[in-house]
Amino acid sequence: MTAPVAVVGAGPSGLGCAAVLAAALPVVLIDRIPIPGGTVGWDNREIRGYVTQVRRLGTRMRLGETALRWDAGRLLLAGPGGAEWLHTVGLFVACGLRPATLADWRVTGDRPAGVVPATVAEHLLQAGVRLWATVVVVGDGPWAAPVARSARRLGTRIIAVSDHADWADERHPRPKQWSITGRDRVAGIRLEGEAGVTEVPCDGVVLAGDPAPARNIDGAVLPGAAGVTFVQPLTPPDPAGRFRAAQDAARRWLRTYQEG
Amino acid sequence: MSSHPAPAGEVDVAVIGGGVLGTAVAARLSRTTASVCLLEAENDVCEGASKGNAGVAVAYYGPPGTQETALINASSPHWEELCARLSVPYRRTGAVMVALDDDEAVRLEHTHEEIRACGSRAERLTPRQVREAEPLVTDRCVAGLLMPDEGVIDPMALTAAYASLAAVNGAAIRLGSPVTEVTATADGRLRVTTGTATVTARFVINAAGVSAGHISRLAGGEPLDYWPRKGQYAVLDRAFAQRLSRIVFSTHTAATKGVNVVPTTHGSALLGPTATDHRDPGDTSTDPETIESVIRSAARLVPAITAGYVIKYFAANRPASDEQHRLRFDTRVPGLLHCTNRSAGVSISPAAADYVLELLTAAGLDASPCRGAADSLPPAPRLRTAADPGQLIRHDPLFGQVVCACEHVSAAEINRALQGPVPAVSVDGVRKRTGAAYGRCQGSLCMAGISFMTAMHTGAGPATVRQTARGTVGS
Repeated sequence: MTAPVAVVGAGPSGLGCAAVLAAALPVVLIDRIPIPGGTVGWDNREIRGYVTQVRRLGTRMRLGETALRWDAGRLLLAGPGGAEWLHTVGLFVACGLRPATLADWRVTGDRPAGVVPATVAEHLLQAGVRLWATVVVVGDGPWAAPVARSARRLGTRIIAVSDHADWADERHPRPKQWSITGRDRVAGIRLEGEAGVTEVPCDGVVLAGDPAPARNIDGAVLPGAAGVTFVQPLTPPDPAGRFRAAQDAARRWLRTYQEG
Repeated sequence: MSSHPAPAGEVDVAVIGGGVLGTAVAARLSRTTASVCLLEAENDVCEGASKGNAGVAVAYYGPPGTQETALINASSPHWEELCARLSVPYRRTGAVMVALDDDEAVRLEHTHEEIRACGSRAERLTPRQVREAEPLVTDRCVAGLLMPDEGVIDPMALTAAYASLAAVNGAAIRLGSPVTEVTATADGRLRVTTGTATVTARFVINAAGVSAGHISRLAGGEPLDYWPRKGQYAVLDRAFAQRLSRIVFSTHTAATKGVNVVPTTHGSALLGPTATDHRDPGDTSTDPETIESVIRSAARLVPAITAGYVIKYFAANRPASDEQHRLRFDTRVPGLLHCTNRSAGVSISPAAADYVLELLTAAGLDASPCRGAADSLPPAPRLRTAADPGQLIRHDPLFGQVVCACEHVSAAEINRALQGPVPAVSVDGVRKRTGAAYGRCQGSLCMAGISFMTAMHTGAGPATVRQTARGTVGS
């Protein structure tokens, strides 16, 4: 029996990989969340179609399990049912994107409460709670506009730090450097740009820019990791575009695999 | 449990300060018949210097002949045993100290002599031997020392474990209790007033770190000068740190011990610290110039270090003072015992706690060993470092529910942090105890989950849940 190829991440990219790979090889599709769809959500019409498609091809779904380690063709999976080393012929990492961190942006200053990644703000705002009176949303990532919209709906004033956001009450261009001020809770951010220094008072900061690939499988973090194909493109943003881009990546890998 | 709980507000010993020294003392006293209460100004233990340090349990700090060195020597051989008992991550990695030019080689030889004079071990290495001991060290290295007894520890887990042991043995842990007044009573006791309660004690331990001068002043004790010495640090990703096997020390100068490269028990690496004296203990800000200099200095020792591996910066203040190590009774106020250290608090903590008990007993405290007192904590297994993750999960399926995707911290570990004898009350408290949200995505994937779990356990809502010990997520 041929060992399977492992695809981690059951969003549009992972589903796109599985849709191609499962026609030629056994595929195990893994996601730490117990439902497919990734950030797009399981009830999206396109996602439902992709899920049906990959299931028909015999893809084995392992949802609610986390890929922990990649070591010479073996993948360690853990879930509430147990842990298992899966022997594979290759690993596709399709774990999506996360917003840039303070360190990614070289942000210094204080480290008060009230500064959160956009992915976290989304969850908290979905709880319907008005978190802040004035929030600074930094960056133009896919989370920025939705977070700004949910926060405004709850009565929060929105300040964007972005070169082209049209969803804010106030906008500042991206600075050369910025820092955070505030001891217990955030009190503002300090933007240093060509025009000088601007202090922007606020009571919340959301990090919503410069998407970076989420990499959290030990041994499959850095570009060039042996046996690993990373499918975490910055564009296109739409589910169908991502699905197709992942199909292309999987086809390229499959050609090399079948020739080799 | 302590065999004779004291009446509310009356204890034999009140410990002021929930850092590594205060909690170590409280844990030690909790295993005796003396009653003890720990008062901490912040809403969690380990909120000052004990949370912001390089995580090295040193075997040598120097100079020789001091009480500090004696306490380090008395503590160092026992870390494996102590950390196994308290379920605290510790690894005796050994260290290499690296000289990069002839001047440094001369100073290195002085340090070598001092290490020997202190009673610790070191071995002179050729550049080639240095790189065999730690292959990541620069080939510009001209000489080195191997210091086999140095090790890395999780200082936050250690502090939380000391506090937990104290609590398990019946010590009262009062958090969010800044001391506002210390007065002598007519019968020779000390009355300590906090924002929330009043405690009368026969002895008061001043383990308030950078605030120790303030506490002494409140009590009418000696005028002690303490000021914050800020250290800035950068944390490096496991992708780099997994290749680092030992601590890499820079050669000491007369003024500073310099920037070091330290593998952490979480699998990351720490660069730092810097040392800047200032006057505002609440200032733990970082600045770009200093952080760049930290990375640059570290990269001189280990050229594989680049800014691209940095996942976090932070700063913390250690208690600088005219008396670098102060473990003695106040000369003015009977019953007031100062217990502070400039930088080696973690490394002296086990022996310092024993010594405090000796001093108190000699001063008349009745503290015999308490039969049945716990001297260990239940094992605190971690999914990430488990030899057999499957066995953990069979025992408790929540070990298979990974919440922090980068650091592989499970729901079982987070629940334990939120339910322990001194539970986390904030997202940061969970991080301090488990390492969750400490990885390369800095909570992007897990902080919502941890917030909700913390909110559930503390009875807060999504906006009012604490992100740090001091501040809430929402305003």
